[in-house]
Amino acid sequence: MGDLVHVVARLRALQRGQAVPVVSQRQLVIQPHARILTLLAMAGEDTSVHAAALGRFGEAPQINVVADPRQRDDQYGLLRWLLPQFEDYYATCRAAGTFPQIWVASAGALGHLDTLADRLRFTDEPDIQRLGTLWTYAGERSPVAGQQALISATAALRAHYATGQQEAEDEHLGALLTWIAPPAGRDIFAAVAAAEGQPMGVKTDPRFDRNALQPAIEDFHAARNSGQLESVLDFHRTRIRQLLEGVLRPVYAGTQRAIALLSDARWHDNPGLEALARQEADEFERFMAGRDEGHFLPYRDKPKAGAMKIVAREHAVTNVDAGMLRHDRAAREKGVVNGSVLRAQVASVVEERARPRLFEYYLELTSHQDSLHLRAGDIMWTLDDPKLSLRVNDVERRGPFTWIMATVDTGKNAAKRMVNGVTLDLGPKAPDWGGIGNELGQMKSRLLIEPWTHSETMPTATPAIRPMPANILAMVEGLT
Amino acid sequence: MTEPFDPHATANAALERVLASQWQGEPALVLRSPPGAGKTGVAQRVALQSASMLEQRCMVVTQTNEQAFDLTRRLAANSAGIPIHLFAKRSLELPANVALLANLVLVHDVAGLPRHPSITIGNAAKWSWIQTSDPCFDVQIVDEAFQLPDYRFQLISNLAPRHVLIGDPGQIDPFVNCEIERWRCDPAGPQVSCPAALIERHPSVLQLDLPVSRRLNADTVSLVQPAFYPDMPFRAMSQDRSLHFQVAGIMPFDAALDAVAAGSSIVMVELPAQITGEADGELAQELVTSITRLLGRSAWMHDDGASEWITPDKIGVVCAHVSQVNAVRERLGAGLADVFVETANRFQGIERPFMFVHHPLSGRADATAFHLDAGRLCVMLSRHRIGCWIFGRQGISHQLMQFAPVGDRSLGIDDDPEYRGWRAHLTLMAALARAGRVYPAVFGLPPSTANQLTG
Repeated sequence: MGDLVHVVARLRALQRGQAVPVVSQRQLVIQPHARILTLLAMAGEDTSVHAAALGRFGEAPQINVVADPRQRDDQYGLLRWLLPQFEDYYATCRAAGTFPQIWVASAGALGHLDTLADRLRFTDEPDIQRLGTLWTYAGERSPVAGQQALISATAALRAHYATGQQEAEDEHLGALLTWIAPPAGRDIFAAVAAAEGQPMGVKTDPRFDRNALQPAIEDFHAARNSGQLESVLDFHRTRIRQLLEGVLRPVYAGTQRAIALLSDARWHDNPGLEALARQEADEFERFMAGRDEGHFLPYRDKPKAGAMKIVAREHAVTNVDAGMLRHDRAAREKGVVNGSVLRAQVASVVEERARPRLFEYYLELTSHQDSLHLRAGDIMWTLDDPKLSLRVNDVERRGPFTWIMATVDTGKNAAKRMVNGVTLDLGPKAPDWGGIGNELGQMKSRLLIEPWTHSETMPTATPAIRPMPANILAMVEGLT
Repeated sequence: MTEPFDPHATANAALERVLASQWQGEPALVLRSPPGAGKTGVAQRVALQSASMLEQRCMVVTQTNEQAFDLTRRLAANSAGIPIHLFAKRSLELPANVALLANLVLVHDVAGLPRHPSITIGNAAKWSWIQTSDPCFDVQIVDEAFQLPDYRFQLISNLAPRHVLIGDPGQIDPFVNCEIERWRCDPAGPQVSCPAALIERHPSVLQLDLPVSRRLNADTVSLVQPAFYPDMPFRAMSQDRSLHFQVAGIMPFDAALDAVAAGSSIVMVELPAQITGEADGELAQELVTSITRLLGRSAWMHDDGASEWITPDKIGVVCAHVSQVNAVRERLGAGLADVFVETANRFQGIERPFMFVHHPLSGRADATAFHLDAGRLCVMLSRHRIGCWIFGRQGISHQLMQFAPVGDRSLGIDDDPEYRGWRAHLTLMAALARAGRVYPAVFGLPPSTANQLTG
């Protein structure tokens, strides 16, 4: 049902021929020092980097292109050009107690960087491995809820706007930007179709490859193989560079445009992001400390590492959701629509004396919501002040209202002062980022001894010393 | 000549194999069970044998406190008077019929765990917070093991050197509330159910199947087994269950009631096509009206030799979403308060003679992996002992054809749960259509044709 809000927004965008904002508050932290990284891979060479553009918000990119990334030395040369820039950036962030942020154009670009990071860590050259390690921080963080380290421009924009096209179509940054700021006087679909003519992913257009890039690379190889002068080779290199820059620059510029749009003052502050920024800085420091201590980053997780990571991710989802419901108005309203937030009026407050000087408070609440995800026994917390937690005793529908009977668990003083008719928003408990550390600590001590079930060796059977009675079934039945 | 099938002998032979595996000292046993095959009864027997005959310290792992209470009640009734330890947090409120058990011993921390042959029950979460890294038990029994993700099992598996994992592989997979792309290609990944991951890591682990369902009748097995357990044949134990009415039917829904009385244990009731989203008040009202009608026709049932009037406590309603559960509960009223209404997730392990099912795809404009999930539908269609009515909006098959799975397979993983669920839904709809088991909920509603139902 929360999706309904998005469907309505998409219909509205379609009707207007322009994307509509779906939130009023910023949905992510934008680091002023964030780096925009645009990489192009060669067709058929998914983990190559044919061209790279790197820069800060509001700055022109530094660009590096290799003639053919299949030539290992050339490829490593490009990566070695990138390494010090990231090494310095990470060091500066660490010294400042903050975290680095890398912006890429789309989910495809994000996946490319993640895959590259894994691949580079297992090369033979220590400096190339180091670049892979640095990028692994961003790659490993990217699937974690609330992460701020690796940002896809399309995902960031989609969190703020709804367009009138399919969600998958929003992954083309150019098309998405066209929906957000369509050219005046032009049909939106014609404008989007024109925008889609410009590749915005990690790969170049196959026609461009066939007609322009491949012949240029072949000419380069022919010149090199025939022992042509360096000036001739430079000519071919320049030709390839110019061809790829024509693809690279619009992607870089689109990513810049996305940051500019999201940095606009129209987006109000979102207090929920403060905790996410702190969490990201902590995660970054932990990651870098782990590298300083020489901990290995495996390609595949062993069971213990997998367990730790999945628990951390589950906690992150819970915390991000709980934080957003408190601080993000759009998330709150979606919660009300889909029933994960109870918006109810206090119908009565009953005080009962349990024993001398101990009182229990019971609230009766009414709500118009018909899609509530509430059960007896659930504990709900107020999402605003005053802080209260209620244990749901019963949920009952009477006519157009849902009635909720609840006992006050915490915040009895606030409940005592509560007046009938006041509206409360109730939802999950406040985020507890420290709780992740407690659980991971417990897991670490539980898993000090690796269980055989999760190792590679299975023990042999150890039959009982006594023989099994012949009438075992009857004997066991006799015990039940 | 083939021997006539003797369900009792077959079930006993399977149980004996399970018990014998413990005398053979197998390091692990994965016991796969169809719905209603008596999993918990097997766990109970293995535990009693372990403590009283093999003189072992036995720990039992459940997935919820309710399951722990149920097992505690069952085990506490043992004839040898063996004390049953319940490992639980201090603040846990025990139901009166557990708290008052004479041989119940409450344990709150590792120091209180028994050091002699014994049985200790606790839920997986509680066990995972135990403050020791030493094995405290000789054998560990995990009930409903297919609901326990491997990363949660890992946290408790070193508490005992030997393991008995009992569960139903056809039910809902473990719920993991985060992005799991990193492990998607790992068949023994942390998100996988623990029996599946254990078998993947150690293929020589002993695996046994329970061959007989005590809950499901033969008609239901003929629909459920091919759709949800194609690789796990099983049969029904009972041939002796039926529904009868004192009052003849004249209302539209009566045809669906009479069909169950005539021996069709699963039938579908269709409402007019409409996109309603998750909450469908009209369908919820129709469910409640139908329950009222079932009771209003002075119905009685025959169940394994016993005849009884049908009362609200013999009826269950299962839905996909909590909001749908609330929609039904809100309309039941005081007279039907004993009707048990829950989501499929929470209905696992629970049965009722009669079930009303809110079809997970009803009223939707799409068909997501959640709603196509074979495990969810399997749970919904395997909770009844006698009869099951599925309620849904017309057009479900059309919806299925429109939203065919995209085939998003993972490298190295043979299973495609979305496709499996989609296929199971279509198989069920086709079977219901072929057998003429689809009934309109209202007068004048043209029934879906077989072609419409089979997509």
